[in-house]
Amino acid sequence: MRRSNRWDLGFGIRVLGFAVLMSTSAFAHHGAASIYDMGKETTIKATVTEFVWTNPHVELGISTSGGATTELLLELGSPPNIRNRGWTSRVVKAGDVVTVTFHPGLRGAKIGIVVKMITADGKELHA
Amino acid sequence: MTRAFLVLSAVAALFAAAACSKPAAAPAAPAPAHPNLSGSWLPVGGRGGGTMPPANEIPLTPWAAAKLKAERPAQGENQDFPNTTDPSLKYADPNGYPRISLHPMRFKLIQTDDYVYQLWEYNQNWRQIALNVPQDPDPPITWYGNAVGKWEGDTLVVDSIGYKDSTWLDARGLPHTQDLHLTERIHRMGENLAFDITFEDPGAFTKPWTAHLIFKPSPDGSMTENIYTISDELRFRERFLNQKVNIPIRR
Repeated sequence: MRRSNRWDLGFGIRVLGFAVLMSTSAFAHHGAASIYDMGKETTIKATVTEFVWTNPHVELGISTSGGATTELLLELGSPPNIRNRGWTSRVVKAGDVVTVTFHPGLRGAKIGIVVKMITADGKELHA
Repeated sequence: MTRAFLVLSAVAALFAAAACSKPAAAPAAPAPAHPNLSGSWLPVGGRGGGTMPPANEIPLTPWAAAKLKAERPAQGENQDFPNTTDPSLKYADPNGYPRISLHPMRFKLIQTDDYVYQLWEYNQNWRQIALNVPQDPDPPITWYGNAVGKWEGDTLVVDSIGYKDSTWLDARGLPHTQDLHLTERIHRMGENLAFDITFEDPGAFTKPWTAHLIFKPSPDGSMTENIYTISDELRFRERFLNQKVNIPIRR
Protein backbone atom coordinates (compact mmCIF):
# COMPACT_ATOMS: atom_id res chain seq x y z
CA MET A 1 0.00 0.00 0.00
CA ARG A 2 2.81 2.35 0.96
CA ARG A 3 4.63 1.46 -2.20
CA SER A 4 1.53 2.14 -4.24
CA ASN A 5 1.16 5.58 -2.67
CA ARG A 6 4.76 6.42 -3.50
CA TRP A 7 4.21 5.34 -7.08
CA ASP A 8 1.05 7.41 -7.26
CA LEU A 9 2.90 10.47 -5.96
CA GLY A 10 5.74 9.98 -8.41
CA PHE A 11 3.32 9.46 -11.25
CA GLY A 12 1.36 12.54 -10.20
CA ILE A 13 4.50 14.65 -10.16
CA ARG A 14 5.45 13.43 -13.62
CA VAL A 15 1.96 14.12 -14.95
CA LEU A 16 1.99 17.59 -13.39
CA GLY A 17 5.41 18.31 -14.84
CA PHE A 18 4.26 17.16 -18.26
CA ALA A 19 1.14 19.27 -17.99
CA VAL A 20 3.19 22.35 -17.08
CA LEU A 21 5.56 21.67 -19.96
CA MET A 22 2.74 21.15 -22.42
CA SER A 23 0.89 24.24 -21.25
CA THR A 24 4.05 26.31 -21.60
CA SER A 25 4.67 24.98 -25.07
CA ALA A 26 1.13 25.27 -26.31
CA PHE A 27 0.38 28.70 -24.98
CA ALA A 28 3.49 30.72 -25.73
CA HIS A 29 1.31 33.08 -27.78
CA HIS A 30 -1.65 33.32 -25.43
CA GLY A 31 -3.15 31.71 -22.41
CA ALA A 32 -6.12 29.48 -23.19
CA ALA A 33 -8.29 30.17 -20.15
CA SER A 34 -9.66 33.49 -21.40
CA ILE A 35 -11.18 32.01 -24.57
CA TYR A 36 -11.58 28.24 -24.00
CA ASP A 37 -13.29 26.09 -21.38
CA MET A 38 -10.21 24.22 -20.22
CA GLY A 39 -12.27 22.13 -17.81
CA LYS A 40 -14.27 20.58 -20.62
CA GLU A 41 -13.23 18.21 -23.40
CA THR A 42 -15.29 17.32 -26.43
CA THR A 43 -14.56 14.44 -28.82
CA ILE A 44 -16.19 14.27 -32.23
CA LYS A 45 -15.75 12.56 -35.56
CA ALA A 46 -15.70 15.16 -38.30
CA THR A 47 -14.59 16.00 -41.81
CA VAL A 48 -11.58 18.26 -42.25
CA THR A 49 -12.45 21.41 -44.21
CA GLU A 50 -9.06 23.11 -43.94
CA PHE A 51 -5.66 22.57 -42.36
CA VAL A 52 -3.54 25.72 -42.38
CA TRP A 53 0.10 25.52 -41.33
CA THR A 54 0.55 29.06 -40.06
CA ASN A 55 1.63 31.24 -37.18
CA PRO A 56 0.80 31.95 -34.45
CA HIS A 57 -1.19 28.68 -34.40
CA VAL A 58 -1.89 25.97 -36.93
CA GLU A 59 -5.60 25.98 -37.80
CA LEU A 60 -7.86 22.97 -38.25
CA GLY A 61 -11.32 23.58 -39.67
CA ILE A 62 -13.90 20.81 -39.38
CA SER A 63 -17.46 20.04 -40.35
CA THR A 64 -19.70 17.63 -38.49
CA SER A 65 -22.20 17.51 -41.33
CA GLY A 66 -19.67 16.29 -43.88
CA GLY A 67 -19.75 19.53 -45.83
CA ALA A 68 -16.90 21.63 -47.14
CA THR A 69 -17.68 24.68 -45.01
CA THR A 70 -15.88 25.17 -41.71
CA GLU A 71 -18.37 24.83 -38.86
CA LEU A 72 -15.85 24.68 -36.07
CA LEU A 73 -12.39 26.26 -36.11
CA LEU A 74 -9.74 24.66 -33.90
CA GLU A 75 -6.25 25.87 -33.04
CA LEU A 76 -3.14 23.87 -32.38
CA GLY A 77 0.32 24.91 -31.18
CA SER A 78 2.82 26.86 -33.23
CA PRO A 79 4.29 25.06 -36.26
CA PRO A 80 7.68 24.15 -34.71
CA ASN A 81 6.16 22.98 -31.46
CA ILE A 82 3.59 20.62 -32.98
CA ARG A 83 6.12 19.42 -35.54
CA ASN A 84 8.14 18.17 -32.57
CA ARG A 85 5.09 16.07 -31.66
CA GLY A 86 4.78 14.42 -35.05
CA TRP A 87 2.48 16.81 -36.93
CA THR A 88 3.39 17.89 -40.45
CA SER A 89 1.71 20.26 -42.88
CA ARG A 90 0.37 17.30 -44.86
CA VAL A 91 -0.69 15.00 -42.05
CA VAL A 92 -4.33 15.75 -42.89
CA LYS A 93 -6.11 17.50 -45.73
CA ALA A 94 -9.57 18.75 -46.59
CA GLY A 95 -11.96 15.83 -46.97
CA ASP A 96 -10.23 13.54 -44.45
CA VAL A 97 -12.38 12.14 -41.67
CA VAL A 98 -10.74 12.49 -38.25
CA THR A 99 -11.63 12.03 -34.61
CA VAL A 100 -10.64 15.11 -32.71
CA THR A 101 -10.67 15.97 -28.99
CA PHE A 102 -10.63 19.63 -27.99
CA HIS A 103 -11.46 22.17 -25.31
CA PRO A 104 -14.43 24.14 -26.66
CA GLY A 105 -14.70 27.92 -26.86
CA LEU A 106 -16.31 29.84 -24.02
CA ARG A 107 -19.82 31.23 -24.37
CA GLY A 108 -20.66 28.92 -27.26
CA ALA A 109 -18.03 30.32 -29.63
CA LYS A 110 -17.48 27.97 -32.56
CA ILE A 111 -13.82 27.54 -31.78
CA GLY A 112 -11.68 25.15 -29.78
CA ILE A 113 -8.13 24.18 -28.89
CA VAL A 114 -7.06 20.70 -29.91
CA VAL A 115 -5.99 18.14 -27.33
CA LYS A 116 -5.47 15.27 -29.75
CA MET A 117 -6.51 14.00 -33.16
CA ILE A 118 -6.78 10.51 -34.62
CA THR A 119 -6.38 10.40 -38.38
CA ALA A 120 -8.40 8.16 -40.70
CA ASP A 121 -5.57 5.60 -40.72
CA GLY A 122 -5.42 5.50 -36.92
CA LYS A 123 -2.46 7.76 -36.24
CA GLU A 124 -2.88 9.53 -32.90
CA LEU A 125 -1.34 12.98 -32.60
CA HIS A 126 -1.27 15.18 -29.53
CA ALA A 127 -1.30 18.96 -29.85
CA MET B 1 88.49 11.93 -52.63
CA THR B 2 87.77 8.61 -50.95
CA ARG B 3 87.73 10.33 -47.53
CA ALA B 4 85.38 13.01 -48.82
CA PHE B 5 83.10 10.35 -50.25
CA LEU B 6 83.03 8.53 -46.90
CA VAL B 7 82.17 11.75 -45.01
CA LEU B 8 79.39 12.58 -47.45
CA SER B 9 78.03 9.04 -47.21
CA ALA B 10 78.01 9.22 -43.42
CA VAL B 11 76.14 12.54 -43.44
CA ALA B 12 73.63 11.18 -45.94
CA ALA B 13 73.14 8.09 -43.80
CA LEU B 14 72.51 10.26 -40.76
CA PHE B 15 69.87 12.31 -42.64
CA ALA B 16 68.28 9.12 -43.95
CA ALA B 17 68.17 7.63 -40.46
CA ALA B 18 66.64 10.79 -39.11
CA ALA B 19 64.07 10.80 -41.89
CA CYS B 20 63.12 7.17 -41.27
CA SER B 21 62.97 7.41 -37.50
CA LYS B 22 59.58 7.52 -35.76
CA PRO B 23 58.20 11.05 -36.11
CA ALA B 24 58.00 13.08 -32.96
CA ALA B 25 54.55 13.03 -31.38
CA ALA B 26 52.40 16.01 -32.40
CA PRO B 27 52.12 18.55 -29.62
CA ALA B 28 48.97 18.09 -27.58
CA ALA B 29 46.16 20.46 -28.52
CA PRO B 30 46.02 23.33 -26.03
CA ALA B 31 43.19 23.17 -23.55
CA PRO B 32 40.34 25.47 -24.60
CA ALA B 33 40.81 28.89 -23.09
CA HIS B 34 37.14 29.11 -22.07
CA PRO B 35 34.22 26.75 -21.48
CA ASN B 36 32.25 25.78 -24.53
CA LEU B 37 28.83 27.44 -24.43
CA SER B 38 27.99 26.56 -28.02
CA GLY B 39 24.95 24.49 -28.84
CA SER B 40 21.17 24.66 -28.72
CA TRP B 41 19.45 25.54 -25.47
CA LEU B 42 15.85 25.42 -24.27
CA PRO B 43 14.42 27.36 -21.30
CA VAL B 44 13.52 25.34 -18.25
CA GLY B 45 10.17 26.62 -17.04
CA GLY B 46 8.52 26.67 -13.66
CA ARG B 47 9.54 27.92 -10.26
CA GLY B 48 12.97 26.71 -9.31
CA GLY B 49 13.68 25.92 -12.93
CA GLY B 50 14.87 29.36 -13.80
CA THR B 51 12.17 31.89 -14.38
CA MET B 52 11.68 35.53 -13.54
CA PRO B 53 10.88 36.09 -9.85
CA PRO B 54 7.32 36.85 -8.69
CA ALA B 55 6.39 40.50 -9.04
CA ASN B 56 6.31 41.00 -5.25
CA GLU B 57 10.00 40.03 -5.09
CA ILE B 58 11.02 42.65 -7.66
CA PRO B 59 11.79 46.13 -6.21
CA LEU B 60 9.45 48.08 -8.48
CA THR B 61 9.26 51.86 -8.42
CA PRO B 62 5.73 53.29 -8.05
CA TRP B 63 5.74 54.02 -11.80
CA ALA B 64 6.67 50.42 -12.68
CA ALA B 65 4.19 48.95 -10.20
CA ALA B 66 1.36 51.03 -11.64
CA LYS B 67 2.33 50.20 -15.22
CA LEU B 68 2.55 46.49 -14.49
CA LYS B 69 -0.85 46.57 -12.82
CA ALA B 70 -2.43 48.35 -15.77
CA GLU B 71 -1.14 45.90 -18.39
CA ARG B 72 -3.35 43.12 -19.72
CA PRO B 73 -1.12 40.09 -20.43
CA ALA B 74 -2.20 37.33 -22.79
CA GLN B 75 -1.23 34.53 -20.45
CA GLY B 76 -0.71 33.74 -16.80
CA GLU B 77 -2.63 35.32 -13.94
CA ASN B 78 -5.24 37.93 -14.91
CA GLN B 79 -4.84 37.04 -18.57
CA ASP B 80 -7.02 38.87 -21.06
CA PHE B 81 -5.92 37.68 -24.47
CA PRO B 82 -8.75 39.29 -26.45
CA ASN B 83 -7.91 42.74 -25.06
CA THR B 84 -4.23 42.29 -24.37
CA THR B 85 -1.85 45.23 -24.22
CA ASP B 86 1.15 42.97 -24.93
CA PRO B 87 3.20 44.81 -27.60
CA SER B 88 4.50 41.50 -28.94
CA LEU B 89 0.92 40.57 -29.87
CA LYS B 90 -0.78 43.93 -30.37
CA TYR B 91 1.91 45.10 -32.79
CA ALA B 92 3.78 41.81 -33.32
CA ASP B 93 6.83 43.67 -32.00
CA PRO B 94 10.03 41.74 -31.35
CA ASN B 95 10.06 40.30 -27.85
CA GLY B 96 13.18 42.20 -26.78
CA TYR B 97 15.59 40.91 -24.19
CA PRO B 98 15.50 38.86 -22.02
CA ARG B 99 11.87 38.03 -22.76
CA ILE B 100 12.69 36.22 -25.98
CA SER B 101 14.86 33.75 -24.07
CA LEU B 102 11.82 32.83 -21.94
CA HIS B 103 9.83 31.86 -25.04
CA PRO B 104 9.54 28.06 -25.09
CA MET B 105 11.65 27.66 -28.19
CA ARG B 106 15.34 27.01 -28.36
CA PHE B 107 18.19 29.33 -29.11
CA LYS B 108 21.59 28.54 -30.48
CA LEU B 109 24.86 30.00 -29.17
CA ILE B 110 27.77 30.34 -31.56
CA GLN B 111 31.08 31.21 -29.98
CA THR B 112 34.02 32.76 -31.83
CA ASP B 113 37.15 34.51 -30.60
CA ASP B 114 35.60 37.95 -31.14
CA TYR B 115 31.86 37.45 -30.73
CA VAL B 116 29.24 35.26 -29.16
CA TYR B 117 26.08 35.09 -31.26
CA GLN B 118 22.72 34.18 -29.75
CA LEU B 119 20.24 33.01 -32.39
CA TRP B 120 16.63 32.57 -31.29
CA GLU B 121 14.43 30.21 -33.25
CA TYR B 122 11.39 32.34 -32.46
CA ASN B 123 11.01 34.97 -35.18
CA GLN B 124 14.63 34.42 -36.27
CA ASN B 125 15.81 37.16 -33.95
CA TRP B 126 19.44 37.35 -32.84
CA ARG B 127 21.95 39.41 -30.90
CA GLN B 128 25.69 39.66 -30.89
CA ILE B 129 27.96 40.00 -27.88
CA ALA B 130 31.23 41.68 -28.85
CA LEU B 131 34.10 40.37 -26.78
CA ASN B 132 36.86 42.38 -25.13
CA VAL B 133 35.74 45.78 -26.35
CA PRO B 134 34.50 48.71 -24.26
CA GLN B 135 30.80 49.48 -23.98
CA ASP B 136 29.58 52.30 -26.21
CA PRO B 137 28.45 55.06 -23.81
CA ASP B 138 25.80 56.21 -26.29
CA PRO B 139 24.71 53.23 -28.39
CA PRO B 140 21.77 53.19 -30.78
CA ILE B 141 18.48 52.28 -29.09
CA THR B 142 17.46 48.82 -30.30
CA TRP B 143 15.19 45.87 -29.54
CA TYR B 144 18.08 43.69 -28.33
CA GLY B 145 20.47 46.29 -26.92
CA ASN B 146 24.20 46.76 -27.31
CA ALA B 147 26.06 43.92 -25.62
CA VAL B 148 29.76 43.55 -24.87
CA GLY B 149 31.33 40.69 -22.98
CA LYS B 150 34.50 39.38 -21.44
CA TRP B 151 35.53 36.18 -19.78
CA GLU B 152 36.09 36.08 -16.04
CA GLY B 153 37.40 32.58 -15.48
CA ASP B 154 34.69 30.17 -16.58
CA THR B 155 32.00 32.85 -16.71
CA LEU B 156 31.11 35.06 -19.65
CA VAL B 157 30.17 38.46 -18.23
CA VAL B 158 27.96 40.51 -20.55
CA ASP B 159 27.16 44.19 -20.15
CA SER B 160 24.30 45.62 -22.20
CA ILE B 161 22.45 48.92 -22.56
CA GLY B 162 20.55 50.75 -25.29
CA TYR B 163 17.21 48.95 -25.02
CA LYS B 164 14.03 50.30 -26.60
CA ASP B 165 11.61 50.97 -23.74
CA SER B 166 8.45 49.71 -25.43
CA THR B 167 9.25 46.02 -24.82
CA TRP B 168 8.15 43.98 -21.84
CA LEU B 169 10.85 42.17 -19.87
CA ASP B 170 8.56 39.13 -19.60
CA ALA B 171 5.10 37.97 -20.64
CA ARG B 172 3.53 39.46 -17.47
CA GLY B 173 4.25 42.96 -18.66
CA LEU B 174 7.25 43.80 -16.47
CA PRO B 175 8.25 47.28 -17.69
CA HIS B 176 11.55 49.07 -18.03
CA THR B 177 12.84 52.41 -19.26
CA GLN B 178 15.47 53.28 -21.86
CA ASP B 179 18.01 53.39 -19.01
CA LEU B 180 17.87 49.63 -18.52
CA HIS B 181 21.31 48.19 -17.82
CA LEU B 182 21.79 44.43 -17.72
CA THR B 183 24.80 42.57 -16.36
CA GLU B 184 24.70 38.91 -17.24
CA ARG B 185 26.89 36.14 -15.88
CA ILE B 186 26.64 33.19 -18.25
CA HIS B 187 28.16 29.91 -17.13
CA ARG B 188 27.77 26.16 -17.38
CA MET B 189 25.92 24.48 -14.54
CA GLY B 190 26.47 20.79 -15.04
CA GLU B 191 24.97 19.96 -18.41
CA ASN B 192 22.81 23.09 -18.29
CA LEU B 193 23.54 26.73 -19.04
CA ALA B 194 22.81 29.45 -16.47
CA PHE B 195 22.17 33.13 -17.12
CA ASP B 196 22.27 35.20 -13.93
CA ILE B 197 20.89 38.53 -15.09
CA THR B 198 21.11 41.63 -12.89
CA PHE B 199 18.65 44.38 -13.78
CA GLU B 200 19.45 48.03 -13.04
CA ASP B 201 17.03 50.75 -14.06
CA PRO B 202 16.40 53.64 -11.63
CA GLY B 203 13.14 54.52 -13.36
CA ALA B 204 11.70 51.02 -12.96
CA PHE B 205 13.52 49.44 -10.00
CA THR B 206 14.44 50.93 -6.63
CA LYS B 207 17.58 48.77 -6.48
CA PRO B 208 19.36 46.17 -8.64
CA TRP B 209 17.86 42.67 -8.64
CA THR B 210 18.87 39.40 -10.25
CA ALA B 211 16.97 36.69 -12.15
CA HIS B 212 18.44 33.21 -12.52
CA LEU B 213 17.48 31.63 -15.83
CA ILE B 214 18.35 28.01 -16.59
CA PHE B 215 18.53 26.45 -20.05
CA LYS B 216 18.84 22.76 -20.80
CA PRO B 217 20.59 21.27 -23.83
CA SER B 218 18.33 20.73 -26.83
CA PRO B 219 19.09 18.51 -29.81
CA ASP B 220 21.25 20.55 -32.14
CA GLY B 221 20.84 20.78 -35.88
CA SER B 222 18.85 22.94 -38.23
CA MET B 223 16.82 25.74 -36.77
CA THR B 224 13.18 25.85 -37.84
CA GLU B 225 11.84 28.99 -39.49
CA ASN B 226 9.12 30.41 -37.30
CA ILE B 227 8.39 33.98 -38.32
CA TYR B 228 5.24 35.55 -36.89
CA THR B 229 3.87 38.78 -38.36
CA ILE B 230 1.19 41.34 -37.54
CA SER B 231 -0.84 39.84 -40.37
CA ASP B 232 -0.71 36.45 -38.63
CA GLU B 233 -1.98 38.04 -35.44
CA LEU B 234 -4.81 39.92 -37.15
CA ARG B 235 -5.85 36.81 -39.06
CA PHE B 236 -5.99 34.82 -35.80
CA ARG B 237 -8.04 37.52 -34.09
CA GLU B 238 -10.48 37.76 -36.96
CA ARG B 239 -10.96 33.99 -37.24
CA PHE B 240 -10.91 32.92 -33.60
CA LEU B 241 -12.10 36.02 -31.73
CA ASN B 242 -14.27 37.60 -34.41
CA GLN B 243 -12.30 40.82 -33.96
CA LYS B 244 -12.03 43.18 -36.90
CA VAL B 245 -8.80 45.00 -36.13
CA ASN B 246 -7.05 47.52 -38.29
CA ILE B 247 -3.28 47.44 -38.20
CA PRO B 248 -2.52 49.43 -35.03
CA ILE B 249 0.11 52.13 -34.64
CA ARG B 250 2.29 51.95 -31.57
CA ARG B 251 1.65 55.03 -29.41
